[in-house]
This record gives sequence, structure tokens and C-alpha cells, in this order.
Amino acid sequence: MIELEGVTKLFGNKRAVDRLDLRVHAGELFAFLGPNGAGKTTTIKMICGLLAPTAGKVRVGGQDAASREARQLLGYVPDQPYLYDKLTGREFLRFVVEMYGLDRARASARIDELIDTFDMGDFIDELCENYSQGMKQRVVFASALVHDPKVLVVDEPLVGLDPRSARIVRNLFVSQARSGAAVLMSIHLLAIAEELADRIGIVDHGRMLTVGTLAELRERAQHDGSLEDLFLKLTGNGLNARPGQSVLERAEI
Amino acid sequence: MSLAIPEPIRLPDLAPDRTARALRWLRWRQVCNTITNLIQGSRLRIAMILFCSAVFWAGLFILFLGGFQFISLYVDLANTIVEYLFSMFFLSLLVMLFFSSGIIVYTTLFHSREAAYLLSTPASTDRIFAYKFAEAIGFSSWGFFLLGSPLMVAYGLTVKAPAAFTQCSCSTCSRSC
Repeated sequence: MIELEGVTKLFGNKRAVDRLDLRVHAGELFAFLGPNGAGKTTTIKMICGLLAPTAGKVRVGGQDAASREARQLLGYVPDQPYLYDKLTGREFLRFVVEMYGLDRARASARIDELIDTFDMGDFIDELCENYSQGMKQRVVFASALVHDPKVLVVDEPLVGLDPRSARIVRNLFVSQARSGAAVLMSIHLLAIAEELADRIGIVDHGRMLTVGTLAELRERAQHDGSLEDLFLKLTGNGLNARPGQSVLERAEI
Repeated sequence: MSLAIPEPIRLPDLAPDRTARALRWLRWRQVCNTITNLIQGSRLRIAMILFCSAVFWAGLFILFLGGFQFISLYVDLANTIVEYLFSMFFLSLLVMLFFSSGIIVYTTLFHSREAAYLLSTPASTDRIFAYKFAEAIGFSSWGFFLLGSPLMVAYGLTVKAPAAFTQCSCSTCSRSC
């Protein structure tokens, strides 16, 4: 569903993404991991058609990522979600429905369903400028799902969410993937990636270091510790760490 | 072993009119909500804004009217003034509008989170550009309305132009916004 072939992105002389290959299949929940500045958000922006690759191909649902058809398939939750301050949450969802050209009657039912799912009934008719970060995040999630996307791309999904909303969102990722959507999430919470993801990709300096299931990654790296240890080992930050020793244990030492 | 190449997924085409209507509706709702919010929450502020705008407009009108009436004592206002003063005035406004529109278009298109959001939706890039360009023109031209309308009305009254002239001047200025 998401295909990247030899994708490179240059910003001047800086190589943000370097010959990246990636495939995320329908029904798969893919966790995209990497340290800050590794090229995750740049890759996600190319998948969403917001940036054009310098070289290589990015396809969504078989279409070029910059095409209108690809964007119609896509639900995108950025790391810094955008909402119109002077619209209410419900008006914003109605606007998204219009932009995706959905049937109004069906979309209205879908909006009500999402308001229930994300428990937004108390504030959905207030202006977005009065929302907390968590409320905004919930509205943005609802807007990304209102058109029932075939591909869901989420950048740092759990920032600002309270534990209850975080649980709802995590369950939602899994249910989206099980209902046949391809879900790609960039996340720094490795425990969540370990728990939810079908496959994991670790990227650093714009290059894909490794891709596979957690078991495959462990086997390849010959490492039996947690995903956190594996991540630190692969990204070169596991300084003086013994296998199985967590970051907290190292901090205590 | 052969690999099956997945067929591209095709969805029904979006009606461009619907996107345009959605963007118009978006702007309309934002204006309505802003006005409602101002009326409910900061009546004094909106009253001050309206009062200051009216005073500014009236001040300019009196200034232009006095100026035109004074000049009309010495020159044939209906012919000479249009050729020299108006040409210079509208030329300087055009230059100002050109630069301010350029700066505003740059910020609203390339430094705007809204533009990035809209580009992630299926709306065509042309439509988004048109929407943001219209917004930039609006932002940069409100000054033209504020400066241009008292000038045109004062000129019309001085040369005793028919009522249609004043109406046309005001509507031209409003349309330019």
C-alpha cells in the first residue's frame, strides 16, 4: 500500500533521506523508529505528498504520492496537528467531509460515531482555539479517520494525550490495521511500538538500518534484550550497555 | 515464482465545485464565528474598532473634500485632477499593493501550516493556490478600500458627479478587497 523505492531527499547539501526502501502492506501496522533528525518526518511528508523526493519513487495505493488519488486514500496526523482556531470541532470535521467529497448523510453518521469513539461530546461544539492539546489531538485523529482511509500515517501520535485517549488511539491503530488499512506510525515510545507493531523499521541518518518483525530484528542483531536496547545498539547510542540492561539501569550506574 | 503487482486503487473523482464551495464555506464560518465571538466576548473592543475606523474614514473624507474644494477654486478639477493627482495616487497604491501582496502570498503559501494541511487533502494545488491568493489579496487590499473610498466619494461630491459614480466607486473599492 505504501511503497518507497530508492528514495533520497536532499535539503541543499544535507541528505535527509538516503536511498530508502520501504513497503507497508494493507492490514499491517508498521512502526517507524529513529533518533531525532533521522529523517522520519521527511519520509512521512514525502508519503503524504507534501515533499517531493529528490530521487526515487513514492507510491500510495499504487499511485504517485503527490497525486490527488493518493491523497484521497490517505489519513495523515502530523506531529504538530493543524486545526482552524475559529471553527468548532464539528465544523472542522464537516469541512474535511466536504474536502474528501463524501456523501453527507453517511459522513454525518460517521462524525457522530467518531465523536462517541473519542469522547468529544463535551467540547466538539466549542471553538478549537479553546481546546487543550489533547482535545486538539483527538479532533485531528477523528478528521484523519472520517473518510475511512486505506492508509493511515501518523507522526508522534501519543503526544499530549491523556492515558485514556492514548489507549483509545492505540486500539484504533490496531483496529484500522485489522480492518485492512496500512498504518504507518512514527513513534519514540518504543514500548508501544513493541506492543502494537507487526513490523518495525529503524532509520538513522536517513538510511533504513533494519526492517522486520521484532523477532527478526533480534535475530539479525543477535540481541535478546528489549526493543529499546536493540534500538540503542543499532543507532550507536548503546554506550557501554550490557545486553538486557535497560536505560534506567544504566542511568543508576 | 512470480510477484503479483497490485492494481492501483481508484476512487471516484472529486467535484472541483465541491472543494471550492468547501473553502468558501470555511472562510464564511471563520468570519461568522469571529464576529459572534467578538460580539459575545469583547463588545468594547469591536465598538472601538468600528469607532476608530469610522473616525479614520471620516477624517480622510473631510481632508480630501476640503482639498478638492480648495483645488477646484484654481483648476478645472474634472479634467486636470484625474490626469495628474489620481494617476499618481493609484500608481503609488498599485506599487504598495504589489509588494504587500507578494509578501503576504509568500507567508500564506510557503510559511503557512494551513497550506501544508490543505495540501495533504485531495484538493487540487491550483484550488489551494487560488484560495490562498484570494486571501492574500484581501489582506493586502483592505487599506485600498480605506484610503480609496473617501477619496473617490469626496471627488464625486466636488465635481457633482451623478449618484451612480459614488456607488460605483464604493463597489469597485469593495470588490478590490
